[in-house]
Amino acid sequence: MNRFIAQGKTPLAAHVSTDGMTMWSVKEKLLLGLTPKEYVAQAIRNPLNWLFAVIFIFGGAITVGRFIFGLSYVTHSSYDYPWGLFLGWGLFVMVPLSASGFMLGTTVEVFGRHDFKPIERLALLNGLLGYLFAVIFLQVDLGQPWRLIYPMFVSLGPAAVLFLVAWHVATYLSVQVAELLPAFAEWVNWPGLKKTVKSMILGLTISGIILSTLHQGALGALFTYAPGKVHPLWISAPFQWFHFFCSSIFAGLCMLIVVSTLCKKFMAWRCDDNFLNNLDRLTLGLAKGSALALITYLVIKIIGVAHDGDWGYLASGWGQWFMLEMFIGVILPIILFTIAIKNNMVGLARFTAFITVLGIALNRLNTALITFNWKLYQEIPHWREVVIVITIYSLFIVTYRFILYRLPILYTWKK
Amino acid sequence: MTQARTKNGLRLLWHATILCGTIFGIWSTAALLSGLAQANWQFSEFLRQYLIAIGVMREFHTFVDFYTHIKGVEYIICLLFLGIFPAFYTLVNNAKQHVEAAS
Repeated sequence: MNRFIAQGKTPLAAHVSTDGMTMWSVKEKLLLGLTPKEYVAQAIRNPLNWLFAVIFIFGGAITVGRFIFGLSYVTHSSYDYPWGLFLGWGLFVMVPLSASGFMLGTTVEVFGRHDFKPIERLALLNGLLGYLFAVIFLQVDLGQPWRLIYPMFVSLGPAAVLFLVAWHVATYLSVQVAELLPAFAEWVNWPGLKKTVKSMILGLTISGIILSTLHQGALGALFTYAPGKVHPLWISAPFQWFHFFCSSIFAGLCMLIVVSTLCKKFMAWRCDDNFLNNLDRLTLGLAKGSALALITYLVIKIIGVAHDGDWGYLASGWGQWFMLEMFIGVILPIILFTIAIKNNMVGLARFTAFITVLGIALNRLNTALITFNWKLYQEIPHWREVVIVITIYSLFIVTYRFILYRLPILYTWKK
Repeated sequence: MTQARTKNGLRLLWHATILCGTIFGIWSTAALLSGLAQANWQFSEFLRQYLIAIGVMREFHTFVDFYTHIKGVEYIICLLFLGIFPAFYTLVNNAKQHVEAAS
């Protein structure tokens, strides 16, 4: 796109062309105001698209194989290890990183911090796509996606935490779609739809807070199904829901910093001045929230160890792994965020957000996969499982980029 | 005159703090190194001995003993957090207002 902008093209951001003569059709909006030939040319020039093409051809075939030959074709799953990378990464990592939606929704709509408005829609989109792809990962794991309706309506299991998670994710996904409808309504020029959704936005935000806080905790509570399997340092039954909920706060905020940084770096042509000029200030604001959530998380993790009397485990190999995770993912970010905030070092805040995201991913993988069955053998994921995870995550990135290019997420739609 | 005296007092306090910090730093480094040497430079063993020495790792004979112990430790952590969190909140909220644009 940068080449077309250099040639004088303006990124499409209104219903009429810049000369005010032409009304853009949906097809033209989808093609970003370019001709089909120009659109294909810019897609081919992007080396990332070639990488995605290779991943989709190779990974797509293996994904189809999973549905034809069954789960054993792609995973080492067993009764010992029912959760592999599909859920370890796709559900337990992606869901906390998607907490940005309810965090920024609450900040702007409930607490009235309208100065965070320029990144609110990005936070909502990050939340929506994170949850959507968590469901897709779940579907690849479970198979038979046409039976998705069963736990929802046909064969209820209201005593199970999984029932709660299923309903919460489904309803929260609907709420997030509704929260992003104003952006879609602006793009397709349906002002009535935008007005209707805007009138319900406070109710939607509050629903989002209730649903997401409950199921972020419920994902932690899932591990109380297997208290003897997870290493005691990674499970504390009375606090597990709180550990998962509290860590999702800084995970969502840090993921938003990472995503907004990538947008600024690689998609600056699509961002308007309102987004670009406010981003550094907002990044430090998000860093402050993350630092406060991180120190709270650190304390409740220590309380979890104290409550179960697990101090002895710290003096083992697993204990050193636990302390390394806590140092890289929690203590170091607290120190670096504080330095960044005190000295207005936006670059450092961005770097810290990146390592915090890695830290939370490590925590969830440790809980769901690495320390799972710590007294038995260690499961190594099948290579086809890794390929499918990369394929679906690539699809996530492509979908993310497709929406950011078009809908008014990083820019304000001109009337 | 008063300002100069206050300035001198602050300088003295600053130097005294540095001196105390240096003494404690040398002492704690020496203690850490000698502790590690006694544990044959094994960090896990050193940590285990430390946890036993401060009393968080020990045998409990009744459930009441165990609960009394863990609740005591938890209350100490909570009290520390009640002091640390407001201080940390003040620290991160007293940052400079001007934001340098990142490259």
